[in-house]
Amino acid sequence: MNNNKKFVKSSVVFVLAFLILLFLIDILYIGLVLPQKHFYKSEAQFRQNSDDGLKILFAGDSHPSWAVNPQYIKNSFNYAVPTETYEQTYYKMRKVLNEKNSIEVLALPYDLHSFANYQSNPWSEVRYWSEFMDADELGKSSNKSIASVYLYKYFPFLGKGNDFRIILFPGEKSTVISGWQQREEVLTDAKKDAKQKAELQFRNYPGIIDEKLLDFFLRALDLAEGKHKKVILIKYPITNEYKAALEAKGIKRGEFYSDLNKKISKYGYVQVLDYQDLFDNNSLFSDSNHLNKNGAEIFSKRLNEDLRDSIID
Amino acid sequence: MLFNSIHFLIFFPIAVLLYFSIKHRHRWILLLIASYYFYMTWNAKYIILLIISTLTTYLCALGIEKYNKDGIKKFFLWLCIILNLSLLFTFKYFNFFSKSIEKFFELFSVQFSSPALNVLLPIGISFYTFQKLSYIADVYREKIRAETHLGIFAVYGSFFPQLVAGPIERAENLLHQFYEKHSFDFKRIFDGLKLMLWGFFKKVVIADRLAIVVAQVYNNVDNYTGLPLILATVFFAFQIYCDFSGYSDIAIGAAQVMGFKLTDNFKRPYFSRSIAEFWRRWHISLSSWFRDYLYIPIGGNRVTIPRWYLNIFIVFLVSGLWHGASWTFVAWGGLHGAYLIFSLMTKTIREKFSNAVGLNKIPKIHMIIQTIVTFILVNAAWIFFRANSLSDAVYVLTHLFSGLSFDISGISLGGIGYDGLFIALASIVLMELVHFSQEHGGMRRFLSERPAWFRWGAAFIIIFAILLFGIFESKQFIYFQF
Repeated sequence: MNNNKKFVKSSVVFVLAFLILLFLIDILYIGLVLPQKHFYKSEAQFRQNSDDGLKILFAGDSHPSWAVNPQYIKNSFNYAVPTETYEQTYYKMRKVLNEKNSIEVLALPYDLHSFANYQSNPWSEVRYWSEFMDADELGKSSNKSIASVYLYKYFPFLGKGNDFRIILFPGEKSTVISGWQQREEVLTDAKKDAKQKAELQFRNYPGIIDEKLLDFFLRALDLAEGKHKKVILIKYPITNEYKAALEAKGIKRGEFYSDLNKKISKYGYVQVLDYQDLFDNNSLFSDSNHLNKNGAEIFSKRLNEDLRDSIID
Repeated sequence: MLFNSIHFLIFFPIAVLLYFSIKHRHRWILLLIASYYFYMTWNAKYIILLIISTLTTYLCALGIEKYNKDGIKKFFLWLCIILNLSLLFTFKYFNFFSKSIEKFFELFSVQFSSPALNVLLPIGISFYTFQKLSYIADVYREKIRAETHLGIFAVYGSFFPQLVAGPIERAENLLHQFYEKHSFDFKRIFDGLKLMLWGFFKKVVIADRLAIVVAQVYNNVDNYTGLPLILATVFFAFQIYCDFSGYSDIAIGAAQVMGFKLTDNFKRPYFSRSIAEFWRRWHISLSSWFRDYLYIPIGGNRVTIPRWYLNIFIVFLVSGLWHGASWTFVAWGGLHGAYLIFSLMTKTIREKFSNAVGLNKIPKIHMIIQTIVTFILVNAAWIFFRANSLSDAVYVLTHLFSGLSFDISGISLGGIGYDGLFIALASIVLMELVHFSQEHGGMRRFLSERPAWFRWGAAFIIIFAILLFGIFESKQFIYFQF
């Protein structure tokens, strides 16, 4: 009996100690690690800086996130985050367009891979996405139970121990300016990288258009139309090696876009800007289909001119 | 319901609390309801297969015991075997054989449209079928008495900790435990929980982390040559080991919490010095099943040498097929059979060779060489087990060293990154150290001699390693598909 009492007492102390440690780690993670991550840095900057002057909002995945430097595009904010899918863009826009009436132009990516369902885990930042979706929506989209959604929302460190390296190695902190993530890397083995990327992104070829993503893309356009916003669809710069890798897989860009263009033709306020062939110089890329810091600067200046010419003015 | 799910984290404590709250004579009812619920959370309608298998086996066993005539006993034995294997064949193998026949006719340019069943593979069917077959065989051999209590027998056939992926329990080990009264013993419960924790660590920190790299390479093998293929293959060896032994630890630990003792399924298999030893250390409950209920009945080694070799080969082919309805699994089993036969054929030559070069005089070096060679052979066979097709397996085997590339940068693409790899490798080293220590009785003694704060510290390290570095996206254990 005494032994059992001792065990019960020990168990209670153990559980209490566990809970204290659990919340301590959670507080550390939320307080010190999350603010250093691109998703949350971008969100904090958006909440702080985007006043009523915000007119152009860039959304989408790593392509706009790394390529668009808002410092060169007046009244803009880069709200894109890596691995963002059209489904996530839709939910994000649903919230933001309600909150920020000043937004006039929505710039979405219009890349081939944007319609391919290849992301292994686009919902890894549950806490971030819970800002835009309710638990039920998030649970259904991410194939998680409601309990899991709440668990990841309130204990975002779960499964993310690697992130603590940001505290240990502050040099790994990424520079984020008005949502733009600065990439210093310069592309080295373009051919190899392009082949691997094409294989990964279009592994379901010939089914490269995912119906669910297409549906959310069109819903995002409907949403913008309902709010009387202009939509710019941007084909972001890619290397020649990446284009060659697509061709080697049998993907014909012309045919791909001709089908998609038919689907968006009913939206009168949508304009497409094509920069896929803008650069021949691989030193402007961080990998075969992402621009680096220097590429982003040149590209953003050019984009600014085109936006002023064709849309704003 | 997966062990590594919130669902199970809620279900298990409730089941345990209820188990100890009710009277001993009613506990089987609770275990039966809990086990059937556990199974039905995956696919409710397939519980009917489990019930059919249970009823068939129960009645046939009673039939065997009731009638003394050899012919009638045999009739019931074969009736039970045929009915159980029919379920297994229909739901697991029908489409495979049907497709294979179609392919065979295609070789001769004959068009043959084979029928296909639109069915899902019932989770754990191979495990519970084999458990039932061992029971009926043991009753037939009069090794055990037929169970008369249908409820207890149904619990034996569906006990939730080991229902979907073993260990495959013999009736003589498990059945009587349902009659024993298990008290609420804190020490036993903590020991069980610790084992479960260790299993979770192996599953979510090591296996599921390695799985990302393995899947990336093995789902696109054409993109890789050299080191990435070697690394992915070795990683798969540890993935499947940590996945399956992790499951077994959770199962054994969960049963221990409630007072049941299940069979150990693994004993540091990658430290085996021969393929034969590997099979004495890997999935022990299955290999001993094949030994007792297939290998020995078809003659074992008490036959001519060619027949002996044939018996070994048959057992391993069937073992391969047991794992999955695919030629890759058959090839995996066949390769292990071939290894064993080759090792038997060359035993004398190998002994003479080690004597000639003096290896027998330096047993430690000899042991290390044997262990490394066995590990390489096992890994070569895993290629077939993991590959998506035979052609993929052949590609991997033929490109392991061709155009040898030591560049592994590509395999972190969209994967776990170098820090993730480091965590996985460090965890593997930790796991092997703990297992080594456990095997030599050191870890438990060492821990039990330490003060509470030290033991708690060790437990917290494992718990927070799981919470911080666990991959919680995995939807199943590898062996669930078998």
